[in-house]
Amino acid sequence: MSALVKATGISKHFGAVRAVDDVSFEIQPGRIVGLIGPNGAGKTTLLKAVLGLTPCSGALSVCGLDPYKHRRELMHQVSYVADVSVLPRWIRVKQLLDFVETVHGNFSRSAAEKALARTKVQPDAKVKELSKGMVAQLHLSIIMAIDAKLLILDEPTLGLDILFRKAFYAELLGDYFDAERTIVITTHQVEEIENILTDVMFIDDGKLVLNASVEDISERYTELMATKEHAGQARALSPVTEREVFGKSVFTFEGVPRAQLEPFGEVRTPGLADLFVAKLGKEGGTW
Amino acid sequence: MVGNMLMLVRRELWEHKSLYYAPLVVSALLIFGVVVSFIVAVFSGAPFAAAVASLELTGAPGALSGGSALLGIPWGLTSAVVAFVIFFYGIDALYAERKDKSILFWRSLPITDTETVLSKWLTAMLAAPAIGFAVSFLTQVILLVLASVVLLIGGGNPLELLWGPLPFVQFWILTFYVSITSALWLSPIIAWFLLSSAFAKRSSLLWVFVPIIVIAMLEGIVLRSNHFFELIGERIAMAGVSGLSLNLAQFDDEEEVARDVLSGDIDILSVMAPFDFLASPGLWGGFVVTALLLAGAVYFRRLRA
Repeated sequence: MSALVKATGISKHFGAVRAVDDVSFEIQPGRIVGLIGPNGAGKTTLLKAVLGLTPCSGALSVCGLDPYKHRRELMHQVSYVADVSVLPRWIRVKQLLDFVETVHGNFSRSAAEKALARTKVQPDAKVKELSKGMVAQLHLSIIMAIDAKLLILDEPTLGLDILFRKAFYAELLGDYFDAERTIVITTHQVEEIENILTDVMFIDDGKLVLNASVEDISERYTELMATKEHAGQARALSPVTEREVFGKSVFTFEGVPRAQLEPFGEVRTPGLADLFVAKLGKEGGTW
Repeated sequence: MVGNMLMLVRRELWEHKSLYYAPLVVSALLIFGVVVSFIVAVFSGAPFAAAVASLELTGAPGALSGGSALLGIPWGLTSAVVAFVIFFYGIDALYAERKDKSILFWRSLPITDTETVLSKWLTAMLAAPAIGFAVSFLTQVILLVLASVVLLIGGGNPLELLWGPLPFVQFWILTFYVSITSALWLSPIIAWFLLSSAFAKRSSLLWVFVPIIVIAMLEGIVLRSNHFFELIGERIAMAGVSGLSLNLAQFDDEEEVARDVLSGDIDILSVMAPFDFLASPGLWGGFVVTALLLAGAVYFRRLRA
Protein backbone atom coordinates (compact mmCIF):
# COMPACT_ATOMS: atom_id res chain seq x y z
CA MET A 1 0.00 0.00 0.00
CA SER A 2 1.29 3.44 -0.82
CA ALA A 3 1.95 6.02 1.86
CA LEU A 4 -0.91 8.29 2.89
CA VAL A 5 1.43 11.12 3.75
CA LYS A 6 4.74 11.47 1.96
CA ALA A 7 6.99 14.34 2.96
CA THR A 8 10.40 14.85 1.38
CA GLY A 9 12.69 17.57 2.66
CA ILE A 10 9.97 19.95 3.78
CA SER A 11 10.94 23.19 5.48
CA LYS A 12 9.11 26.22 6.74
CA HIS A 13 10.87 29.38 7.82
CA PHE A 14 9.44 32.35 9.66
CA GLY A 15 12.07 34.96 9.00
CA ALA A 16 15.28 33.51 10.40
CA VAL A 17 13.45 30.96 12.53
CA ARG A 18 13.32 27.47 11.06
CA ALA A 19 10.05 26.12 12.40
CA VAL A 20 10.36 22.99 10.28
CA ASP A 21 13.80 22.15 8.99
CA ASP A 22 14.25 19.61 6.18
CA VAL A 23 11.87 16.99 7.49
CA SER A 24 11.19 13.76 5.58
CA PHE A 25 8.81 10.98 6.58
CA GLU A 26 6.05 8.70 5.39
CA ILE A 27 2.86 7.71 7.14
CA GLN A 28 1.26 4.43 6.06
CA PRO A 29 -2.51 3.81 6.21
CA GLY A 30 -3.89 2.20 9.33
CA ARG A 31 -1.36 3.68 11.75
CA ILE A 32 -1.74 5.83 14.85
CA VAL A 33 1.17 8.21 14.92
CA GLY A 34 2.15 10.30 17.92
CA LEU A 35 3.93 13.51 16.97
CA ILE A 36 5.85 14.44 20.07
CA GLY A 37 7.99 17.44 20.85
CA PRO A 38 8.39 20.36 23.22
CA ASN A 39 6.52 23.63 22.78
CA GLY A 40 7.79 25.50 19.77
CA ALA A 41 9.41 22.40 18.27
CA GLY A 42 7.45 22.80 15.05
CA LYS A 43 4.64 20.26 15.63
CA THR A 44 1.81 22.60 14.79
CA THR A 45 3.64 24.13 11.83
CA LEU A 46 4.30 20.66 10.44
CA LEU A 47 0.64 19.68 10.85
CA LYS A 48 -0.47 22.94 9.24
CA ALA A 49 1.68 22.14 6.23
CA VAL A 50 0.19 18.64 6.04
CA LEU A 51 -3.30 20.18 6.18
CA GLY A 52 -2.55 22.71 3.47
CA LEU A 53 -3.02 25.63 5.82
CA THR A 54 0.45 26.97 5.24
CA PRO A 55 2.78 26.74 2.24
CA CYS A 56 6.16 25.06 2.71
CA SER A 57 9.18 24.16 0.62
CA GLY A 58 9.98 20.57 -0.29
CA ALA A 59 7.69 17.87 -1.65
CA LEU A 60 4.56 17.04 0.29
CA SER A 61 1.74 14.76 -0.74
CA VAL A 62 -1.28 13.90 1.40
CA CYS A 63 -3.81 11.39 0.04
CA GLY A 64 -2.06 11.92 -3.29
CA LEU A 65 -2.73 15.68 -3.24
CA ASP A 66 -0.62 18.77 -2.80
CA PRO A 67 -2.26 20.00 0.39
CA TYR A 68 -1.75 23.73 -0.10
CA LYS A 69 -3.00 23.74 -3.68
CA HIS A 70 -5.90 21.36 -3.14
CA ARG A 71 -7.06 22.12 0.38
CA ARG A 72 -10.75 21.82 -0.51
CA GLU A 73 -10.41 18.35 -2.08
CA LEU A 74 -8.13 17.31 0.73
CA MET A 75 -10.64 18.34 3.40
CA HIS A 76 -13.07 15.73 2.05
CA GLN A 77 -10.59 13.04 3.05
CA VAL A 78 -8.85 14.61 6.01
CA SER A 79 -10.43 15.93 9.16
CA TYR A 80 -8.73 17.67 12.00
CA VAL A 81 -9.11 19.34 15.32
CA ALA A 82 -6.79 22.33 15.47
CA ASP A 83 -7.86 23.38 18.92
CA VAL A 84 -11.03 22.40 20.68
CA SER A 85 -12.17 25.92 21.45
CA VAL A 86 -12.59 27.09 17.84
CA LEU A 87 -16.27 26.34 17.26
CA PRO A 88 -18.15 29.59 16.57
CA ARG A 89 -19.83 30.67 19.78
CA TRP A 90 -22.99 32.02 18.17
CA ILE A 91 -24.02 28.83 16.40
CA ARG A 92 -26.61 26.33 17.59
CA VAL A 93 -25.74 22.63 17.73
CA LYS A 94 -28.47 21.84 15.22
CA GLN A 95 -27.28 24.55 12.83
CA LEU A 96 -23.74 23.24 13.08
CA LEU A 97 -24.90 19.74 12.10
CA ASP A 98 -27.00 21.18 9.23
CA PHE A 99 -24.00 23.08 7.98
CA VAL A 100 -21.47 20.26 8.10
CA GLU A 101 -23.99 17.84 6.61
CA THR A 102 -24.46 20.12 3.61
CA VAL A 103 -20.86 21.00 2.88
CA HIS A 104 -19.18 17.70 3.79
CA GLY A 105 -19.99 14.69 1.64
CA ASN A 106 -18.40 12.23 4.08
CA PHE A 107 -20.19 13.40 7.21
CA SER A 108 -22.67 11.06 8.86
CA ARG A 109 -25.22 13.11 10.74
CA SER A 110 -26.68 10.06 12.44
CA ALA A 111 -23.25 9.07 13.77
CA ALA A 112 -22.74 12.57 15.18
CA GLU A 113 -26.21 12.60 16.73
CA LYS A 114 -25.62 9.17 18.24
CA ALA A 115 -22.38 10.37 19.82
CA LEU A 116 -24.04 13.57 21.07
CA ALA A 117 -26.93 11.62 22.58
CA ARG A 118 -24.41 10.15 25.02
CA THR A 119 -23.50 13.66 26.20
CA LYS A 120 -25.43 16.49 27.82
CA VAL A 121 -25.20 18.60 24.65
CA GLN A 122 -28.72 19.60 23.55
CA PRO A 123 -29.48 20.17 19.83
CA ASP A 124 -31.01 23.59 20.47
CA ALA A 125 -28.19 24.85 22.64
CA LYS A 126 -25.82 27.53 21.44
CA VAL A 127 -22.12 26.80 21.61
CA LYS A 128 -21.60 29.75 23.98
CA GLU A 129 -24.02 28.15 26.45
CA LEU A 130 -21.95 24.96 26.64
CA SER A 131 -19.16 24.23 29.08
CA LYS A 132 -15.64 23.83 27.78
CA GLY A 133 -15.86 20.06 28.03
CA MET A 134 -19.18 20.00 26.18
CA VAL A 135 -17.78 22.12 23.35
CA ALA A 136 -14.94 19.65 23.03
CA GLN A 137 -17.41 16.76 23.00
CA LEU A 138 -19.42 18.50 20.30
CA HIS A 139 -16.40 19.21 18.14
CA LEU A 140 -14.98 15.73 18.51
CA SER A 141 -18.40 14.15 17.84
CA ILE A 142 -18.54 16.03 14.55
CA ILE A 143 -14.97 15.27 13.56
CA MET A 144 -15.35 11.58 14.39
CA ALA A 145 -18.56 11.36 12.34
CA ILE A 146 -16.56 12.31 9.25
CA ASP A 147 -15.42 9.30 7.28
CA ALA A 148 -11.87 10.52 6.79
CA LYS A 149 -8.80 8.66 5.63
CA LEU A 150 -6.63 10.81 7.86
CA LEU A 151 -7.59 12.31 11.20
CA ILE A 152 -5.28 14.88 12.73
CA LEU A 153 -5.67 15.77 16.37
CA ASP A 154 -3.58 18.67 17.63
CA GLU A 155 -3.88 18.68 21.42
CA PRO A 156 -7.44 17.35 21.24
CA THR A 157 -7.92 17.11 24.99
CA LEU A 158 -6.12 20.24 26.15
CA GLY A 159 -7.69 21.64 29.28
CA LEU A 160 -10.13 18.76 29.72
CA ASP A 161 -10.41 16.60 32.80
CA ILE A 162 -8.94 13.15 33.11
CA LEU A 163 -12.28 11.29 32.87
CA PHE A 164 -13.11 12.95 29.60
CA ARG A 165 -9.63 12.30 28.22
CA LYS A 166 -9.80 8.59 29.09
CA ALA A 167 -13.26 8.26 27.56
CA PHE A 168 -12.18 10.11 24.44
CA TYR A 169 -9.19 7.90 23.74
CA ALA A 170 -11.22 4.78 24.47
CA GLU A 171 -13.80 5.90 21.92
CA LEU A 172 -11.16 6.88 19.41
CA LEU A 173 -9.61 3.45 19.57
CA GLY A 174 -12.81 1.45 20.00
CA ASP A 175 -15.37 3.05 17.70
CA TYR A 176 -13.43 5.19 15.30
CA PHE A 177 -10.18 3.56 14.43
CA ASP A 178 -9.95 0.77 11.88
CA ALA A 179 -7.41 -0.55 9.38
CA GLU A 180 -8.45 1.98 6.73
CA ARG A 181 -7.98 4.98 8.93
CA THR A 182 -4.92 6.82 10.02
CA ILE A 183 -4.60 9.10 13.01
CA VAL A 184 -1.91 11.62 13.87
CA ILE A 185 -1.99 12.96 17.43
CA THR A 186 0.01 15.56 19.28
CA THR A 187 -0.45 15.99 22.98
CA HIS A 188 1.29 17.16 26.12
CA GLN A 189 0.01 14.18 28.05
CA VAL A 190 2.12 11.66 26.22
CA GLU A 191 1.57 9.00 28.91
CA GLU A 192 -2.12 8.91 28.01
CA ILE A 193 -1.59 8.05 24.40
CA GLU A 194 1.51 5.94 24.43
CA ASN A 195 -0.50 2.74 24.75
CA ILE A 196 -2.55 3.42 21.64
CA LEU A 197 0.24 4.55 19.32
CA THR A 198 1.68 2.35 16.60
CA ASP A 199 4.33 4.87 15.57
CA VAL A 200 6.22 7.68 17.18
CA MET A 201 7.79 10.77 15.68
CA PHE A 202 9.95 12.98 17.89
CA ILE A 203 10.46 16.50 16.70
CA ASP A 204 12.75 19.09 18.22
CA ASP A 205 13.93 22.42 16.86
CA GLY A 206 12.11 21.71 13.63
CA LYS A 207 14.03 18.50 13.04
CA LEU A 208 12.83 14.94 13.17
CA VAL A 209 14.96 13.20 15.80
CA LEU A 210 13.18 9.86 15.85
CA ASN A 211 10.69 8.20 13.56
CA ALA A 212 9.99 4.61 14.46
CA SER A 213 7.24 2.12 15.10
CA VAL A 214 6.52 1.16 18.67
CA GLU A 215 7.84 -2.39 18.00
CA ASP A 216 11.09 -0.94 16.71
CA ILE A 217 11.43 1.17 19.81
CA SER A 218 10.97 -1.75 22.16
CA GLU A 219 13.59 -3.65 20.19
CA ARG A 220 16.05 -0.83 19.99
CA TYR A 221 15.74 0.82 23.38
CA THR A 222 16.06 -0.71 26.79
CA GLU A 223 15.87 0.87 30.19
CA LEU A 224 17.89 -0.66 32.94
CA MET A 225 17.48 0.04 36.63
CA ALA A 226 20.83 -1.16 37.81
CA THR A 227 21.68 -2.33 41.30
CA LYS A 228 24.51 -0.36 42.95
CA GLU A 229 27.21 -2.99 42.44
CA HIS A 230 26.44 -3.35 38.70
CA ALA A 231 26.18 0.33 37.85
CA GLY A 232 29.79 0.50 36.78
CA GLN A 233 29.47 -2.47 34.43
CA ALA A 234 26.31 -1.01 32.93
CA ARG A 235 28.04 2.34 32.40
CA ALA A 236 30.76 0.54 30.47
CA LEU A 237 28.17 -0.46 27.80
CA SER A 238 27.84 3.26 26.90
CA PRO A 239 24.22 4.07 27.73
CA VAL A 240 22.48 6.97 26.00
CA THR A 241 21.52 8.49 29.34
CA GLU A 242 21.86 7.91 33.00
CA ARG A 243 19.71 9.28 35.80
CA GLU A 244 19.19 8.71 39.49
CA VAL A 245 15.88 7.42 40.82
CA PHE A 246 15.59 6.62 44.56
CA GLY A 247 19.30 6.16 44.80
CA LYS A 248 19.43 3.71 41.92
CA SER A 249 20.97 4.38 38.54
CA VAL A 250 18.62 4.22 35.59
CA PHE A 251 20.24 3.83 32.17
CA THR A 252 18.75 3.99 28.72
CA PHE A 253 20.50 1.89 26.10
CA GLU A 254 20.16 1.93 22.37
CA GLY A 255 20.90 -1.23 20.42
CA VAL A 256 22.19 -3.26 23.35
CA PRO A 257 20.57 -6.74 23.58
CA ARG A 258 18.32 -7.23 26.60
CA ALA A 259 20.00 -10.49 27.54
CA GLN A 260 23.25 -8.61 28.02
CA LEU A 261 21.62 -6.15 30.43
CA GLU A 262 19.43 -8.49 32.45
CA PRO A 263 22.17 -9.57 34.89
CA PHE A 264 22.66 -5.94 36.01
CA GLY A 265 19.14 -5.29 37.29
CA GLU A 266 15.57 -4.68 36.18
CA VAL A 267 15.08 -4.33 32.42
CA ARG A 268 12.10 -2.80 30.60
CA THR A 269 11.10 -0.76 27.57
CA PRO A 270 11.43 2.94 28.37
CA GLY A 271 8.34 5.13 28.47
CA LEU A 272 8.02 7.65 25.68
CA ALA A 273 8.57 10.56 28.03
CA ASP A 274 11.81 9.07 29.32
CA LEU A 275 12.86 8.08 25.84
CA PHE A 276 12.23 11.57 24.59
CA VAL A 277 14.38 13.03 27.35
CA ALA A 278 17.04 10.42 26.59
CA LYS A 279 16.95 11.07 22.89
CA LEU A 280 17.19 14.81 23.21
CA GLY A 281 19.54 14.82 26.18
CA LYS A 282 17.24 17.19 27.99
CA GLU A 283 16.52 17.16 31.65
CA GLY A 284 12.97 18.08 32.49
CA GLY A 285 11.88 20.50 29.87
CA THR A 286 8.35 21.26 28.87
CA TRP A 287 6.15 18.92 26.92
CA MET B 1 -22.15 23.75 -5.34
CA VAL B 2 -25.33 25.83 -5.29
CA GLY B 3 -26.41 23.97 -2.15
CA ASN B 4 -23.10 24.84 -0.53
CA MET B 5 -23.50 28.51 -1.43
CA LEU B 6 -27.05 28.66 -0.05
CA MET B 7 -25.86 27.05 3.17
CA LEU B 8 -22.97 29.50 3.42
CA VAL B 9 -25.36 32.44 3.04
CA ARG B 10 -27.68 30.88 5.63
CA ARG B 11 -24.72 30.66 7.98
CA GLU B 12 -24.15 34.41 7.52
CA LEU B 13 -27.77 35.09 8.48
CA TRP B 14 -27.44 32.86 11.56
CA GLU B 15 -24.37 34.76 12.65
CA HIS B 16 -25.36 38.31 11.70
CA LYS B 17 -28.88 38.56 13.03
CA SER B 18 -28.86 42.34 12.70
CA LEU B 19 -29.31 41.81 8.95
CA TYR B 20 -32.99 41.12 9.65
CA TYR B 21 -33.47 42.29 13.22
CA ALA B 22 -32.52 45.90 12.45
CA PRO B 23 -35.06 46.47 9.62
CA LEU B 24 -37.72 44.55 11.59
CA VAL B 25 -37.21 46.68 14.70
CA VAL B 26 -37.29 49.92 12.73
CA SER B 27 -40.42 48.88 10.88
CA ALA B 28 -42.10 47.84 14.15
CA LEU B 29 -41.31 51.28 15.59
CA LEU B 30 -42.72 52.94 12.48
CA ILE B 31 -45.94 50.92 12.65
CA PHE B 32 -46.23 51.71 16.35
CA GLY B 33 -45.80 55.44 15.65
CA VAL B 34 -48.40 55.39 12.90
CA VAL B 35 -50.87 53.47 15.09
CA VAL B 36 -50.44 56.02 17.87
CA SER B 37 -50.95 58.94 15.51
CA PHE B 38 -54.06 57.30 14.03
CA ILE B 39 -55.52 56.66 17.48
CA VAL B 40 -54.85 60.25 18.47
CA ALA B 41 -56.46 61.42 15.24
CA VAL B 42 -59.53 59.19 15.58
CA PHE B 43 -60.18 60.19 19.19
CA SER B 44 -59.40 63.88 18.87
CA GLY B 45 -62.98 64.94 18.26
CA ALA B 46 -63.87 65.10 14.63
CA PRO B 47 -62.88 61.57 13.60
CA PHE B 48 -63.27 61.70 9.87
CA ALA B 49 -61.76 65.10 9.29
CA ALA B 50 -58.82 64.30 11.54
CA ALA B 51 -58.25 60.89 10.07
CA VAL B 52 -58.36 62.20 6.57
CA ALA B 53 -56.15 65.08 7.54
CA SER B 54 -53.63 62.69 9.06
CA LEU B 55 -53.42 60.97 5.72
CA GLU B 56 -53.57 64.22 3.79
CA LEU B 57 -56.16 62.57 1.59
CA THR B 58 -57.67 65.73 0.24
CA GLY B 59 -58.13 65.33 -3.43
CA ALA B 60 -56.23 63.42 -6.05
CA PRO B 61 -52.74 65.00 -5.92
CA GLY B 62 -52.87 65.01 -2.13
CA ALA B 63 -53.85 61.38 -2.12
CA LEU B 64 -50.64 60.62 -3.89
CA SER B 65 -48.51 62.53 -1.42
CA GLY B 66 -50.39 61.27 1.66
CA GLY B 67 -50.99 57.73 0.52
CA SER B 68 -47.65 57.41 -1.16
CA ALA B 69 -46.02 58.32 2.13
CA LEU B 70 -47.39 54.99 3.37
CA LEU B 71 -45.30 53.37 0.64
CA GLY B 72 -42.38 55.74 0.52
CA ILE B 73 -41.58 56.10 4.20
CA PRO B 74 -41.23 52.37 4.97
CA TRP B 75 -39.21 51.93 1.81
CA GLY B 76 -36.89 54.85 2.54
CA LEU B 77 -36.46 53.87 6.16
CA THR B 78 -35.70 50.18 5.56
CA SER B 79 -33.34 51.05 2.72
CA ALA B 80 -31.39 53.39 4.97
CA VAL B 81 -31.28 50.81 7.78
CA VAL B 82 -30.22 48.04 5.40
CA ALA B 83 -27.45 50.22 3.95
CA PHE B 84 -26.24 50.89 7.49
CA VAL B 85 -26.41 47.21 8.43
CA ILE B 86 -24.59 46.13 5.26
CA PHE B 87 -21.74 48.46 6.15
CA PHE B 88 -21.31 46.93 9.60
CA TYR B 89 -21.82 43.44 8.24
CA GLY B 90 -19.18 43.99 5.57
CA ILE B 91 -16.47 45.22 7.92
CA ASP B 92 -17.18 42.36 10.35
CA ALA B 93 -17.74 39.47 7.95
CA LEU B 94 -14.14 38.33 7.52
CA TYR B 95 -12.83 39.87 10.73
CA ALA B 96 -15.04 38.28 13.41
CA GLU B 97 -14.17 34.75 12.34
CA ARG B 98 -10.49 35.49 12.94
CA LYS B 99 -11.11 37.25 16.20
CA ASP B 100 -13.06 34.32 17.67
CA LYS B 101 -10.76 31.81 15.90
CA SER B 102 -13.73 30.02 14.36
CA ILE B 103 -11.91 30.42 11.03
CA LEU B 104 -9.82 27.40 12.12
CA PHE B 105 -12.98 25.35 12.24
CA TRP B 106 -14.45 26.70 8.98
CA ARG B 107 -11.20 26.01 7.19
CA SER B 108 -11.19 22.42 8.42
CA LEU B 109 -14.21 21.83 6.19
CA PRO B 110 -14.07 21.32 2.42
CA ILE B 111 -14.88 24.91 1.48
CA THR B 112 -12.50 27.15 -0.44
CA ASP B 113 -11.64 30.67 0.68
CA THR B 114 -13.12 31.91 -2.58
CA GLU B 115 -16.48 30.27 -1.84
CA THR B 116 -16.51 31.79 1.64
CA VAL B 117 -15.68 35.30 0.43
CA LEU B 118 -18.24 35.04 -2.38
CA SER B 119 -20.91 33.89 0.07
CA LYS B 120 -20.27 36.97 2.21
CA TRP B 121 -20.37 39.22 -0.82
CA LEU B 122 -23.65 37.63 -1.96
CA THR B 123 -25.11 38.04 1.52
CA ALA B 124 -24.46 41.78 1.37
CA MET B 125 -25.43 42.10 -2.30
CA LEU B 126 -28.55 39.93 -2.43
CA ALA B 127 -29.72 38.59 0.92
CA ALA B 128 -29.61 41.88 2.85
CA PRO B 129 -31.44 43.96 0.17
CA ALA B 130 -33.99 41.13 -0.29
CA ILE B 131 -34.67 41.13 3.44
CA GLY B 132 -34.98 44.92 3.35
CA PHE B 133 -37.43 44.74 0.47
CA ALA B 134 -39.52 42.04 2.17
CA VAL B 135 -39.68 43.98 5.45
CA SER B 136 -40.56 47.19 3.60
CA PHE B 137 -43.29 45.35 1.64
CA LEU B 138 -44.85 43.89 4.79
CA THR B 139 -44.71 47.26 6.53
CA GLN B 140 -46.38 48.98 3.61
CA VAL B 141 -49.19 46.41 3.51
CA ILE B 142 -49.74 46.73 7.26
CA LEU B 143 -49.81 50.55 7.03
CA LEU B 144 -52.22 50.48 4.09
CA VAL B 145 -54.55 48.15 5.99
CA LEU B 146 -54.33 50.41 9.07
CA ALA B 147 -55.09 53.47 6.96
CA SER B 148 -58.04 51.66 5.42
CA VAL B 149 -59.42 50.92 8.87
CA VAL B 150 -59.05 54.56 9.86
CA LEU B 151 -60.83 55.66 6.70
CA LEU B 152 -63.64 53.16 7.35
CA ILE B 153 -64.05 54.45 10.91
CA GLY B 154 -64.23 57.95 9.51
CA GLY B 155 -66.84 56.90 6.98
CA GLY B 156 -64.63 57.13 3.93
CA ASN B 157 -64.19 54.47 1.26
CA PRO B 158 -60.61 53.15 1.32
CA LEU B 159 -60.95 51.54 -2.09
CA GLU B 160 -61.83 54.86 -3.63
CA LEU B 161 -59.57 57.09 -1.59
CA LEU B 162 -56.53 54.88 -1.09
CA TRP B 163 -56.23 51.61 -2.98
CA GLY B 164 -57.71 52.92 -6.21
CA PRO B 165 -55.53 55.96 -6.83
CA LEU B 166 -52.31 54.63 -5.32
CA PRO B 167 -49.93 53.12 -7.92
CA PHE B 168 -48.63 50.57 -5.44
CA VAL B 169 -47.89 47.77 -7.89
CA GLN B 170 -45.71 50.08 -9.96
CA PHE B 171 -44.10 51.34 -6.78
CA TRP B 172 -43.17 47.81 -5.72
CA ILE B 173 -41.80 46.96 -9.14
CA LEU B 174 -39.79 50.17 -9.23
CA THR B 175 -38.37 49.81 -5.73
CA PHE B 176 -37.52 46.15 -6.32
CA TYR B 177 -35.69 47.18 -9.45
CA VAL B 178 -33.89 49.98 -7.61
CA SER B 179 -32.83 47.50 -4.88
CA ILE B 180 -31.14 45.33 -7.47
CA THR B 181 -29.51 48.12 -9.46
CA SER B 182 -28.28 49.90 -6.32
CA ALA B 183 -26.69 46.72 -5.01
CA LEU B 184 -24.99 45.99 -8.33
CA TRP B 185 -23.83 49.58 -8.56
CA LEU B 186 -22.43 49.54 -5.02
CA SER B 187 -20.78 46.14 -5.42
CA PRO B 188 -17.20 47.55 -5.40
CA ILE B 189 -17.97 49.41 -2.15
CA ILE B 190 -19.22 46.19 -0.56
CA ALA B 191 -16.13 44.36 -1.86
CA TRP B 192 -13.98 47.07 -0.29
CA PHE B 193 -15.63 46.49 3.11
CA LEU B 194 -14.87 42.79 2.78
CA LEU B 195 -11.25 43.42 1.82
CA SER B 196 -10.84 45.71 4.83
CA SER B 197 -12.28 43.09 7.14
CA ALA B 198 -10.05 40.37 5.67
CA PHE B 199 -6.98 42.58 5.94
CA ALA B 200 -7.45 44.29 9.31
CA LYS B 201 -5.44 42.92 12.19
CA ARG B 202 -7.21 45.02 14.77
CA SER B 203 -9.80 47.54 13.67
CA SER B 204 -11.52 46.86 10.38
CA LEU B 205 -13.45 50.11 10.80
CA LEU B 206 -10.17 51.99 10.62
CA TRP B 207 -9.06 50.10 7.54
CA VAL B 208 -12.22 51.05 5.68
CA PHE B 209 -11.50 54.75 5.93
CA VAL B 210 -7.78 55.27 6.40
CA PRO B 211 -6.58 54.00 2.98
CA ILE B 212 -9.21 56.08 1.19
CA ILE B 213 -8.27 59.20 3.11
CA VAL B 214 -4.56 58.56 2.53
CA ILE B 215 -5.03 58.06 -1.22
CA ALA B 216 -7.18 61.16 -1.46
CA MET B 217 -4.62 63.18 0.47
CA LEU B 218 -1.74 61.92 -1.65
CA GLU B 219 -3.68 62.81 -4.76
CA GLY B 220 -4.32 66.26 -3.34
CA ILE B 221 -0.65 66.79 -2.56
CA VAL B 222 0.88 65.28 -5.69
CA LEU B 223 -1.67 66.04 -8.39
CA ARG B 224 -3.51 68.90 -6.71
CA SER B 225 -6.77 67.29 -7.65
CA ASN B 226 -9.62 65.52 -5.87
CA HIS B 227 -10.80 62.92 -8.35
CA PHE B 228 -10.56 59.87 -6.09
CA PHE B 229 -12.82 61.33 -3.42
CA GLU B 230 -15.26 62.57 -6.02
CA LEU B 231 -15.32 59.17 -7.70
CA ILE B 232 -16.27 57.42 -4.47
CA GLY B 233 -18.74 60.12 -3.44
CA GLU B 234 -20.40 60.00 -6.82
CA ARG B 235 -20.57 56.20 -6.77
CA ILE B 236 -22.40 56.26 -3.45
CA ALA B 237 -24.61 59.25 -4.26
CA MET B 238 -25.68 57.84 -7.61
CA ALA B 239 -26.54 54.35 -6.31
CA GLY B 240 -30.28 54.88 -6.07
CA VAL B 241 -30.67 56.38 -9.52
CA SER B 242 -27.98 54.37 -11.30
CA GLY B 243 -30.54 52.19 -13.03
CA LEU B 244 -32.96 55.01 -13.86
CA SER B 245 -33.11 57.48 -16.67
CA LEU B 246 -34.41 60.66 -15.12
CA ASN B 247 -35.43 63.52 -17.27
CA LEU B 248 -35.15 66.19 -14.63
CA ALA B 249 -37.20 68.70 -16.63
CA GLN B 250 -40.11 66.33 -16.15
CA PHE B 251 -40.04 66.94 -12.45
CA ASP B 252 -40.26 70.70 -12.35
CA ASP B 253 -43.70 70.85 -10.88
CA GLU B 254 -44.37 68.22 -8.24
CA GLU B 255 -48.10 68.83 -8.18
CA GLU B 256 -48.30 68.36 -11.88
CA VAL B 257 -46.21 65.20 -11.81
CA ALA B 258 -48.43 63.79 -9.11
CA ARG B 259 -51.53 64.52 -11.13
CA ASP B 260 -49.99 63.00 -14.22
CA VAL B 261 -48.97 59.84 -12.41
CA LEU B 262 -52.45 59.40 -11.02
CA SER B 263 -54.16 60.08 -14.29
CA GLY B 264 -51.83 57.66 -16.01
CA ASP B 265 -50.16 60.30 -18.17
CA ILE B 266 -46.83 59.43 -16.59
CA ASP B 267 -45.95 55.79 -16.16
CA ILE B 268 -43.56 55.74 -13.20
CA LEU B 269 -42.04 52.53 -14.53
CA SER B 270 -40.85 54.41 -17.62
CA VAL B 271 -37.94 55.78 -15.56
CA MET B 272 -36.44 52.29 -15.34
CA ALA B 273 -33.64 51.95 -17.86
CA PRO B 274 -32.27 48.42 -17.46
CA PHE B 275 -30.55 48.30 -20.85
CA ASP B 276 -28.78 51.62 -20.38
CA PHE B 277 -27.80 50.39 -16.92
CA LEU B 278 -26.39 47.12 -18.25
CA ALA B 279 -24.52 48.97 -20.96
CA SER B 280 -23.04 51.60 -18.65
CA PRO B 281 -19.24 51.57 -18.27
CA GLY B 282 -19.69 52.56 -14.62
CA LEU B 283 -21.37 49.24 -13.87
CA TRP B 284 -18.74 47.11 -15.59
CA GLY B 285 -15.86 49.17 -14.26
CA GLY B 286 -17.37 48.54 -10.85
CA PHE B 287 -17.41 44.79 -11.48
CA VAL B 288 -13.74 44.80 -12.45
CA VAL B 289 -12.87 46.66 -9.25
CA THR B 290 -15.11 44.26 -7.30
CA ALA B 291 -13.27 41.24 -8.73
CA LEU B 292 -9.88 42.72 -7.78
CA LEU B 293 -10.98 43.64 -4.27
CA LEU B 294 -12.58 40.23 -3.67
CA ALA B 295 -9.45 38.48 -4.94
CA GLY B 296 -7.54 40.54 -2.36
CA ALA B 297 -10.01 39.48 0.34
CA VAL B 298 -9.50 35.80 -0.59
CA TYR B 299 -5.74 36.29 -0.50
CA PHE B 300 -5.75 37.89 2.94
CA ARG B 301 -8.22 35.41 4.41
CA ARG B 302 -5.81 32.66 3.47
CA LEU B 303 -2.74 34.58 4.63
CA ARG B 304 -4.14 35.67 7.98
CA ALA B 305 -5.61 32.30 8.95
